Amino acid sequence: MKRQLLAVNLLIALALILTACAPVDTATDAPAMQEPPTERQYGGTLNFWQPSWDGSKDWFHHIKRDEVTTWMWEELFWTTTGGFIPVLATGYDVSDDGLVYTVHLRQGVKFHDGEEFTAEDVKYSFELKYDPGILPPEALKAEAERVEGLFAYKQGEEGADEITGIRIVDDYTVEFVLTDRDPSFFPGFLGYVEHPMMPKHVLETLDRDELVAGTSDYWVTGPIGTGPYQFVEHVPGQYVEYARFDDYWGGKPGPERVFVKFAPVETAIIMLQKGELDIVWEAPAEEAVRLMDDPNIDVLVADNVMGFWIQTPNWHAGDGLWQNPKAKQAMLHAADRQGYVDNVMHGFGVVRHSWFHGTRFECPTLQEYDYDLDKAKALLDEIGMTADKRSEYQLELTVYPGNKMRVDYAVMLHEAYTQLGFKTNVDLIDAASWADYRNGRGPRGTEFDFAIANWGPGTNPYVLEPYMVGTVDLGYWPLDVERDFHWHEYSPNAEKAAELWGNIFAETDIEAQTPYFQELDCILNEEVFIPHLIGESWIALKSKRLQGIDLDLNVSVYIVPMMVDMANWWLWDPEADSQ
Amino acid sequence: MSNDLQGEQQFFVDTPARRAMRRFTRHRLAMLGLGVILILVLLSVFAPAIAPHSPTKQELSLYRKPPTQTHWLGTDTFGRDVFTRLIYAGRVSLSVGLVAVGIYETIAILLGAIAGYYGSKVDWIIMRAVDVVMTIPTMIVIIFLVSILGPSMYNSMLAIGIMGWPEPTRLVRGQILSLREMDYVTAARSLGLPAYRIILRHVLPGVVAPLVVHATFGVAGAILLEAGLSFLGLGVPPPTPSWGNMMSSAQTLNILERVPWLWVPPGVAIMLSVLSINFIGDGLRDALDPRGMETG
Repeated sequence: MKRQLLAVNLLIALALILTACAPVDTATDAPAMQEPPTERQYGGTLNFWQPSWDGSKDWFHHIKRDEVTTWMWEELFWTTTGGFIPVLATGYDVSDDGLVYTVHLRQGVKFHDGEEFTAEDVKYSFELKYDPGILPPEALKAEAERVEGLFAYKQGEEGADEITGIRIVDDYTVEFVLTDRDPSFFPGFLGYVEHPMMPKHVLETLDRDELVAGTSDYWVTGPIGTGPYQFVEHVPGQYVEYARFDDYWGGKPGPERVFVKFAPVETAIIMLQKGELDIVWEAPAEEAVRLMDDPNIDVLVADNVMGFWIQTPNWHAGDGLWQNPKAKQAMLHAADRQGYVDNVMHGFGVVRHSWFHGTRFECPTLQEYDYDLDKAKALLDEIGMTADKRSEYQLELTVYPGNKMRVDYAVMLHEAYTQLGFKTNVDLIDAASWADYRNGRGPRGTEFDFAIANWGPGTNPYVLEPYMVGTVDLGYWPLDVERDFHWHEYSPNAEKAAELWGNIFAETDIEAQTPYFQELDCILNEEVFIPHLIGESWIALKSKRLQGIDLDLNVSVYIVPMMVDMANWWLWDPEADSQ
Repeated sequence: MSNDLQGEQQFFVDTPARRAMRRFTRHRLAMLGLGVILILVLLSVFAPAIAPHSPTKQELSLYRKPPTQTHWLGTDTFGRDVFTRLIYAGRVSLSVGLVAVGIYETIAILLGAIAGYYGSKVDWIIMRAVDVVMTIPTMIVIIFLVSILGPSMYNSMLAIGIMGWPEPTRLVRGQILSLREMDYVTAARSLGLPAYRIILRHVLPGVVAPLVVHATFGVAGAILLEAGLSFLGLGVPPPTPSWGNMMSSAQTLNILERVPWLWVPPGVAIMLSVLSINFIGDGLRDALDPRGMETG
């Protein structure tokens, strides 16, 4: 009996190992496709992937364009770094004093019900978005204070029943009047992805309270927009279905139907291999490596200059050790970031040496911080952080779990700092507990050194201004401890930086701003304002049948970058598609 | 002559402990399990002496090398030696199992003894507490606790230890309920011995056998729980290896298909340790079963 039991157990174990080692049956039976035709084909069903989607939140309360809604809702512009791609607006002018932005709308644009899109819809859409009932008054304060009368409208102040700073000049011209000169107005507001255009003629007939509360049937049964696809159905947790809008201003789109399907990424990749999805975006590098050999799948890769893995310092740890640029330079020299890009990112990433590295604003005399352990030690010795002091110093890193690549970044840095002689520890802190942790209620109190996060300029190069010249802290520090760090109070370059930001804000033309940004980037580079930048490439996996994709990572990071031209996508051999 | 007889009688005295030991050593699966677990324990304890490399030292140029003579089980993404990490990981996984079980068996002995011996309202309160805790999904509470306390080896031990006590408490209480009615306990009580002494000296020894069996299976369960927590990133933080966090690298098909040496060794280690401990538990259960003593 015992022998039989042993035999059965061992057999089960062996079977499990063999099953695990066996290749996973994810490949389609179909032979590899040949070269696609050059002409766009019409028809078929495009299956697009989305990890998850809280429709009840995103449809109604944010009224924003995302990977799910962008098929039917459009904005005035797509923002790029220092520029734009015209969508429902063809362009804009700025007055000499920089206070009035005049937006010229595209003519001949129709909503899905056939009505024409005009300036009335623009003003209505902004007033709906900033309705006092949609988000708490303080939620969009920074945005709302830019436009004359917008904040009062958002606050629901008496008499403020419209946004006075948005003026309709004629059917195809709208003016935005600013409260102050602000070159970040375009990337941060006018071209921001959270302002899709809504049909005034439909929405003004509905109950306003229900509309802003998200309880109106309209949001569930038939929201309309001007996009290439019109809404058909939303089955929560499963998919959103769209049908082609033949009168789309950009010309008739290719696929007849679009399904946005919700699934975890691991499942989605298998669905892609089985032909149940046509594209999976932000795919893990590990899977891209595997699928490069798959004849039916294309791996699309674009360098990312808009967002990075970063290591944000606690300015107060170690008696202000990380306020010293040389300490941070040493941190950079100690870490084999290129090794991390090669091993963990499988080459799908780029080591960055400054905030604007890789963009038009990059410092012309960029100093590179390559892996050099001896140099790192020498720099620390130079500032008095000698080997014996390092061996006494407990260096604490913290990182959110849940993303293997991010945790592996901590593993790489742990080794780097151990090699420098620090006693190093990694704390995995759940996002929900992070606020408590940074407030000193974690196991390290207030004495943790760095947090690994993801940040970047996106399409808005002005985001660092309040951190460099204002009183906004950058970095992690205990909020309830009476200590404060303002970069400009400590940096020898503070005056120069303030002057550069002043020059930048005095110009509205990005070309004129560029030399000032470049000078600013040299300061950021020298001071290692944000340590440890690694740009993670953007990877998408797509089926061979999906054609017409132009991947451009200089377009907004808040939405799948290639979706800027999704109206041009088409399916090769649409008759053979499967849903 | 009489001395010789005495000697012979002493030689053939067959105590219950000896009978149990004899039965246990005859249990082949248990002995096999004991052998395997001993090897794993020895490897873990003497890891610094046995391991050919450092468990955390990175050699990025040795990226995912398959098994070779230098690296018996290959290297991982950071060029670390998998065999070295495997035996160091055993220290974490096995000690989490042992300590967690130690925590909850201690709680169980304490509460079970009080409930069983005193009965009445105390018993009712403790048993209702047991009922309540048993209705809560263990893994979810452990994840919750670890999220609050922060992932670490000690917090894993604590979280698993805190959630495991209801079942052995019931076991201890049940045993003591019957033992307290035995004549020798009544005699001790009538002699005026204090309750704590009766419990410690006369009642608890009767609970040891079933508790040891339960604890053995508990260690296996705790090892699996720790592996699950580490796999989810809530166990032992990097770069300290545990079998669970070593397996967490196998979350993509690329590694599952192409780099089996990253996840098969820790998987096999978990499987072998759990299987072995369960075999030992089976052996102990058979050896300590009073119904089998006469035929032993």
